[in-house]
Amino acid sequence: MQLAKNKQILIGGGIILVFVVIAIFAPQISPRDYWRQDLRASLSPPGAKYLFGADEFGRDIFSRAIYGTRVSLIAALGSAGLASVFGLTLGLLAGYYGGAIDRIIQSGIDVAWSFPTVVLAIVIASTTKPGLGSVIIAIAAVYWAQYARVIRGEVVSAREEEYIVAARACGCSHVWIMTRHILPNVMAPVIVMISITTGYAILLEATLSFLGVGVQPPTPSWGIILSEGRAFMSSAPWITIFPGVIITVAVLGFNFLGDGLRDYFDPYMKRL
Amino acid sequence: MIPVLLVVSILVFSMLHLAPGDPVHMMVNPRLGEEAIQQKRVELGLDRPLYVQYLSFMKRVFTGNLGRSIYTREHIAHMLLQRLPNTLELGFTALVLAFLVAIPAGTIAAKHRGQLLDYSTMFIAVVGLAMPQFWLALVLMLIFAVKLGWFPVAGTGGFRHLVLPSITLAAYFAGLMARMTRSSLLEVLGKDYILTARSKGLREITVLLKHGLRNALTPVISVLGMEIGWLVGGAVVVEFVFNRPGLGRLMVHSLYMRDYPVVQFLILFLVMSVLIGNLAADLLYSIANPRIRYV
Repeated sequence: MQLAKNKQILIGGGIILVFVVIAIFAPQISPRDYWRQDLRASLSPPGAKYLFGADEFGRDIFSRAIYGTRVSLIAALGSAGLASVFGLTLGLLAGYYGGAIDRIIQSGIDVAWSFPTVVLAIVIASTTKPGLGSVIIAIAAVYWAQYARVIRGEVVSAREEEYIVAARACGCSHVWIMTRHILPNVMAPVIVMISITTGYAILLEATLSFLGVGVQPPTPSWGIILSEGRAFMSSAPWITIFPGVIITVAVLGFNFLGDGLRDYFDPYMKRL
Repeated sequence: MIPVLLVVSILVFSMLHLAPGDPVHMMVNPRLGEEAIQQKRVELGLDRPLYVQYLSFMKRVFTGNLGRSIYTREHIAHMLLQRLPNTLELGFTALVLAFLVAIPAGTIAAKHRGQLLDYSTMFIAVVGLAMPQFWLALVLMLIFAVKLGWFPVAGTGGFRHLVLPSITLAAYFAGLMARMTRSSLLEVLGKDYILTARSKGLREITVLLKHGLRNALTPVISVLGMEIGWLVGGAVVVEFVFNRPGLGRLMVHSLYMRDYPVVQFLILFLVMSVLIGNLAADLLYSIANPRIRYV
């Protein structure tokens, strides 16, 4: 199969697969309960008993990181999914109909685009009820415009193709043309974008949780573990180091997959 | 630009005012009772209908009299102007640093395409893109401030205070730009005029820098403009971690305190700076590429 020949797709896909397996089988994999405190083990360094060390309450960082995989992946995939559905729909409508609909959606894109990414997410996350749901909404609010902008551009150029004109001439409805004729032809960039934005969504979730406006403790997410370790940075750096490395590897996985898919779909597609 | 700012102002205003959590409840001692809370609300003008509050907010934007912070009673305009230099200094240093690292790195990678040097440079660039900024900040702090003691841990002051924060902020940008420079340069190096330059017998370095890089940098500049928002957002995180008194830290703290007036003007200000940044990049783009003219 051609897809499997691309090294970036293999490596990226492999990394993501490992994280997905960890997230699904978290209870079976984690050696300890992620919430169990053992004050005698407070701030123990990494070793045989605590692979990644323990935090101030003596909780096992390794187990917390494993459960954190669930929370971080749900937040990232959820927000990338939500953003793609919104962005795809709006981009399709704007590109297909043009005119007033296009202008309204375009100005929405301009507004979303003018916000500094992190700032918009922080404002939304801190003005809504804190938790996983508001994190997903905050991150999706940042990324939908990127989808909408790219899809709109794709649709505008697809609209003039002869097969669309032919479909119109055959009496196909607008909805049918959009979903059956245009959508399949713009899916390649969408798939690439989902992979890349999921990676950035992991970063954004961690940032929000670190700033205290994201997922709330005691729920373990990678960002939460990191922010809890911040106060012990010099006495127990392992609390902070390990989740950071995990986040980096996960984001790398999604970036590799996205880059690989982009090369696979279209070797000339340079940047989305 | 103006319509975008108008919509942003309405959005931000309604987001902050419809949000749960009342700043007045945090300011007044709850034992004083509902009456004291109501009195405070009237005092701050928060009892008026929302559209009246919005109009007075817009009036302040246009008159430049931004009013005072709910908490510190400081003039908001003064707060912003006082912190602006710190943020500008950080952003500018990071940008220059990213340029200085990324363009040579991207050029070297393109020159040695497919070799170990290419792979290792690009790997570092991708890692720079994938690392959480606040984590990089903490790690740099631990190594170079706590363990080695070369730089101060946090705060502002001279050049030494600027080193770690600007490296942190530059990492993402440098990674992005190095990758862009490489791919753009590779595309340019495949063009016919490069073949012509080489067959004229020009030195390889001249071909690479003068004929290649100069043409390759135009798309890099245009992407840079689109990513100004990233720089501003990154500054928020970096200032927070390094405890630098800039606009970003002010925003995080004001949000924690639900100091709405400060947050509103601050966001408006940041959005404006992103729009100006985009515009500046467009202008730079047309200077770098004379074939493009904006009428």
